[in-house]
Amino acid sequence: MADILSVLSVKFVLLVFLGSVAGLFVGAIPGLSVSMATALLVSITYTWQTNDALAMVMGVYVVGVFSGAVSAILINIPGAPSSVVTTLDGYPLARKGQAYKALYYATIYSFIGSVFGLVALALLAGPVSRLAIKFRPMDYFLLALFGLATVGSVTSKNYVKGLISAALGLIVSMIGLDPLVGTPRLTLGISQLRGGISTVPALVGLFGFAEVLSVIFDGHMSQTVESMGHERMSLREVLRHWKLSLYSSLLGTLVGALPGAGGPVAAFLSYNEAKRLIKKPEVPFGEGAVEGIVASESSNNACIGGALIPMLTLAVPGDAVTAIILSVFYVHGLKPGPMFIRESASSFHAILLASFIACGALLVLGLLVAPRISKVISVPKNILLPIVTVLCVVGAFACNNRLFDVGLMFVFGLVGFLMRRRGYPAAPMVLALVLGKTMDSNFRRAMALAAVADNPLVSLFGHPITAFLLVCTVLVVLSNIPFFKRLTHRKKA
Amino acid sequence: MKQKCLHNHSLQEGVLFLLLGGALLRYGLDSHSKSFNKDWTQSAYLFPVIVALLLGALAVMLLVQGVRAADEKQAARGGEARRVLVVLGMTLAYYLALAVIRMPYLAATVFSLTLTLSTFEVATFAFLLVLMLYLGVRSRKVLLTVPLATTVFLSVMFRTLLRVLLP
Repeated sequence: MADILSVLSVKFVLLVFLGSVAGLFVGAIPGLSVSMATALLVSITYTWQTNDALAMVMGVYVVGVFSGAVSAILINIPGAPSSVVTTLDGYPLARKGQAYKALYYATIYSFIGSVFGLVALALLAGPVSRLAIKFRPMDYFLLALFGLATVGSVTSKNYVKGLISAALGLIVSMIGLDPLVGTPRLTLGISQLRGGISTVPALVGLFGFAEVLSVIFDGHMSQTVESMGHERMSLREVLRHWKLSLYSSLLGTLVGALPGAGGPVAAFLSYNEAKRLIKKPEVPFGEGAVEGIVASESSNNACIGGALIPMLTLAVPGDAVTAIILSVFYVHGLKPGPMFIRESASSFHAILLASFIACGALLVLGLLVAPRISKVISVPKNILLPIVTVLCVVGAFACNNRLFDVGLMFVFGLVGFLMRRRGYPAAPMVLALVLGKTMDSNFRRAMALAAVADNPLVSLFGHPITAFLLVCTVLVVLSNIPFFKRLTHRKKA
Repeated sequence: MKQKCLHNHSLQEGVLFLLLGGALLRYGLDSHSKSFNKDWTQSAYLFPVIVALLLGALAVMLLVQGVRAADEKQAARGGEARRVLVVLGMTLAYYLALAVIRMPYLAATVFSLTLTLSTFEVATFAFLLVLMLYLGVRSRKVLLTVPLATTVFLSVMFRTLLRVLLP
């Protein structure tokens, strides 16, 4: 506890709060996203002290995930993908003139979910790190492969397209000097590519500029906001769904901890569970049931703590935002992995402390400010999009101070836009981009070790963790092949 | 049937990714054969070859999906492609302005905040104004204040307060 408090300072708290305020607006305004804001923050905060940068980033992350619910409730457009499920009951409730009630529920249960996930992070990070020390190169490769296989299945209706997106990300990650022997690969003779593709311009392009182009393509430039009533509610009345909230938070934490899965999956899963468990809600699901908001918001916020577990202990991010946060770590010279908690205890404590402070900020901002920001949410997109484009340029440039990265950002933005139009999700590409070099180096290390072993096959897959990860990966892939899907459906029938 | 296949997105994309996978495979094999290290387990081109094979296999699956769906109607996904092209043109012009034009660097300090006037400020103001105008903003007040306020805010925030370099 004393170690955690040693990180605490007025500046630290202020930075978390500043990040939280930014997260509230970024998450709530459709067209801006937490991923985009975090990517921009990487470039802004790279000259800062590590703990200051982490304070700001965690503020944006924790409150940004919650505030996606604000626009989901008020204008039926989720500010973040994890808030898609909140629209199902939040918006119908708002249309009945109970927008304040919906926001109140979303805030309280987002807070509970966030705290649950972070407590799980604090308790489980140590044991998972101890387990991770036993990981071999092949295990790291398979864990990353498992993440890509999972994210490919949950982010796209078409599994093949999800995997193609991941394969494209792997190709991009290979550009530059190879991680083991330093041979230049796929640089096309361009000297600026020898250092590889920087993650920041790629992420800013895929999430920021691609979003700008998509909105312009769709042509929806304005939105109408539901009016806000201020009906009184007792906290006891609101908290009577605590059991459902804890169950949803548990699901959210588990799903978040799976590499590749994330908030949207957790929210859908918890919503379906809530529908299964609560047979007679006061209002039917889909027509303004508060239980739907409780399940969705508890689980998607619990994902935050869950997603940080594999990121900190195994350097395998749980979702797109943690993939970007991982690049914050690399920019600041930190190395997440089994030894992270021991070697960079201060940074681990900073993350925990910043996240808990951000939870407090979430409660304050959600109850006091969120109901009053309807005018900001309704900023016409023809004003917002040009500003976002300039922010993308600044963010891409600030990373390495070279215009070449701005050009790269535009290229990735165009690629991201085309991928969206054709149903290819960006998340697998981002995960592959971040994990590609780790996969490459660990796979080759495993192959080199197997080459000198008596039995190469046993050397590669004979370890219990390796066998477990291999089975998990194969199961994920098989479960997404139409033939096996039909087989399991027939058995269920 | 031939016409339907030509307009099938999965087929088009399948062919594209098959070509990409083929090119990557050839690059990996060629580069490995020219490299000093002939041991595949230590080759820098092992991973590209594996990814190329994976992409090729996925492209074939996409082609199969495309052939099966050849008779199905492609979902109409209308949108304003022309607007996207125009916006891309504008961002390209903005990028070129930042890359090519070199303006003298003027700075003035007001209440300990340094206001700067250089290529970034002028190009950003012009870009915001033109793009907003193109996207349908007609209010003169908005057209003047938003680009000006954004440019000043970014300049002061990044250059002076955060000490981050701007293009």
